[in-house]
Amino acid sequence: MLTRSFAELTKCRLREFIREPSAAFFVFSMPILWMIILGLAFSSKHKEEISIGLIIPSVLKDSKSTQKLLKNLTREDHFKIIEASQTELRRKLRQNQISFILEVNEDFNLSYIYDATNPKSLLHKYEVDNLIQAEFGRRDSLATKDHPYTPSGSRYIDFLVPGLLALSLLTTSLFGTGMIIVVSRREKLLQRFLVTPMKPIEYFLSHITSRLIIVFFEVLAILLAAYFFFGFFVEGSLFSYFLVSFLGALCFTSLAILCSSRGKNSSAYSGFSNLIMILLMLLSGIWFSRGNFPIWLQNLSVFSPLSALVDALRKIALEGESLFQLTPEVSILLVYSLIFIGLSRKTFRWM
Amino acid sequence: MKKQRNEIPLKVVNLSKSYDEVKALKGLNFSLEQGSCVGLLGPNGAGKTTTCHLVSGLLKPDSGEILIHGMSFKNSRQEILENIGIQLQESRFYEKYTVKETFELFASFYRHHRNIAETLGELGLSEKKDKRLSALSGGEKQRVYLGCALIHDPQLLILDEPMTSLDPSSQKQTREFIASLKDQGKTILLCTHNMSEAKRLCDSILILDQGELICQGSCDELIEKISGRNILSFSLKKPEEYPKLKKLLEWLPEEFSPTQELGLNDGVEKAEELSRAMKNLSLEVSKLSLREASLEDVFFKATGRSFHANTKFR
Repeated sequence: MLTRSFAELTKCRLREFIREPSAAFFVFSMPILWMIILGLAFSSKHKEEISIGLIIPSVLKDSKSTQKLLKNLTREDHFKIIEASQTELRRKLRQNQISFILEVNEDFNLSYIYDATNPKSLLHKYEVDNLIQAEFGRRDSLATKDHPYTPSGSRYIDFLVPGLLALSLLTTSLFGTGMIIVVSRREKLLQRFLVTPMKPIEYFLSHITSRLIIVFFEVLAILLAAYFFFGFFVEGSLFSYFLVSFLGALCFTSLAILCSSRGKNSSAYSGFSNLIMILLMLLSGIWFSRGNFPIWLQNLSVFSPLSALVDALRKIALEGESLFQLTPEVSILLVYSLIFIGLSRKTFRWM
Repeated sequence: MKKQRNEIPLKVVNLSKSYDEVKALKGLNFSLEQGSCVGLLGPNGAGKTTTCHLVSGLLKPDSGEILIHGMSFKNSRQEILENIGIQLQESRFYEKYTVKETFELFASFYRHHRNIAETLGELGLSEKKDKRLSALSGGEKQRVYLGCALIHDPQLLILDEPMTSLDPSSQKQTREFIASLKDQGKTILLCTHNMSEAKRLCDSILILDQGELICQGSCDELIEKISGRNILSFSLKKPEEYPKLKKLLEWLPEEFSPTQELGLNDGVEKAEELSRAMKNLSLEVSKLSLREASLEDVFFKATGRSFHANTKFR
């Protein structure tokens, strides 16, 4: 199988990739940039700020109890005290700019005004009230101790990395392989190849092989970046992780060959690829769990190749599942690859 | 497998091809002798590129047969492609590839290929071998394309408009290179709409028009048989006096036209005769000229249409 022309064509694909800096940027840098941006955005280690609207009657301003209350509230870095009139504070509460209003009456009794339909408002009110009660002498009847724990794989970044990797494999296949084919047809290079003894299968295999070589480095780069920036690691077998990634790349490269099997217009191809990508992305639950979808859509989305790849990668990375346990996802990817290759054979035009 | 010299490199028999309702080729017949350079000429849309694509195996004919060294695409496609060198119009290669890499890529498609360094040398590209195609001039790129057609040392070359969109200097370089191929004994089918290019390079010419072969032969033969070696043109200040002239010189056409052009094989004698007659009749002449006929004149005469415009031949 490894003929001289196949080897030269594969070298050609790799040279094209290496000599196109924007391609390398999109393959390696984009997913890592996305990971860093989203990872940082959703993994803040700081406590969430609690804005408290405070009303204290002027007669109590200088009282010892008021001073003690203010001292306790201002001691906490994540508490933000806003003093204003009740009308103004109610407006802020309505606009969700504060969590609740703490009103002190002249007998130093405390009233909380909060949005009962907002769980955060309720939580924040309890947190502040507990602190004040403890400072003013309340004793708990039972001793308690907190043990904060973040289970492995439960962070958003753990959920995100396999999705980003799958998305990257889809986009780089569609826009890398597909676009090269469309441009080569437009430039009549495919037609030129056709009048040589080169076997067409070698041309397609060169695309797939070069993609798999690039995918190896793509996966490696994303995993290393995820490990160094966020401590992400693959619970299951790295071999399986790479193998499933290769299978995903095979499936999407076949899809790219199918999508580019006729056209000569790169803009039209770009639009078409974007449409396919958006559809697959919406179905796949890359950004958020598919559990939020209606049941019928959840059932349907399982059969999307991107969903199968995302699920398989997540199961290996987060749950340590073996390839055998991933038979449904692997089968979906294989079946799609065969369908796309079969259809490409029927529809591909060299001119 | 290199073919024997006594086999006909290319034979086209009754070749027809249609695109939807348009008949691009209507029963084309011709053959190429070993070592000949044959020009396939015709205006845009005459069927040249269709012929090139058919004999390259890019298109399948509706009917007819193409035999290359006695083989047909139907039975021996790979074998044929191993033995012909093809340069297609407007094909563009990877711009980020170097000249040498491009040759290596194309060489890899063939069972046997020439030494790449030697090929680079013959094409005058040795110093440019590590340059990317994007950094080459039009003429240099054209030589790279020709090099890719020659990399496997084929005996039959099909060149589709090899000089189109080249500047005059690049055209000259390419023409000289094609002439050198001819000297090496290669058989060449040169598809072109450039008559002077065909006249300079080709041993014989096939002129196509609207999918039909309207004439064939060597350039001189075609000129002599169809248009005449010389083109005589004249006009009179008083066209109404033309009948007097016609009465004296029977070989003149019946009708006079101010843009009169006459194709003649004995143009010099006839021009002297005309000049004498005009003098004797005291006719005032506004124009009298004699020039050598070209292939444009052959096409003009054969089709009644200009090669480049739709003016009527008179």
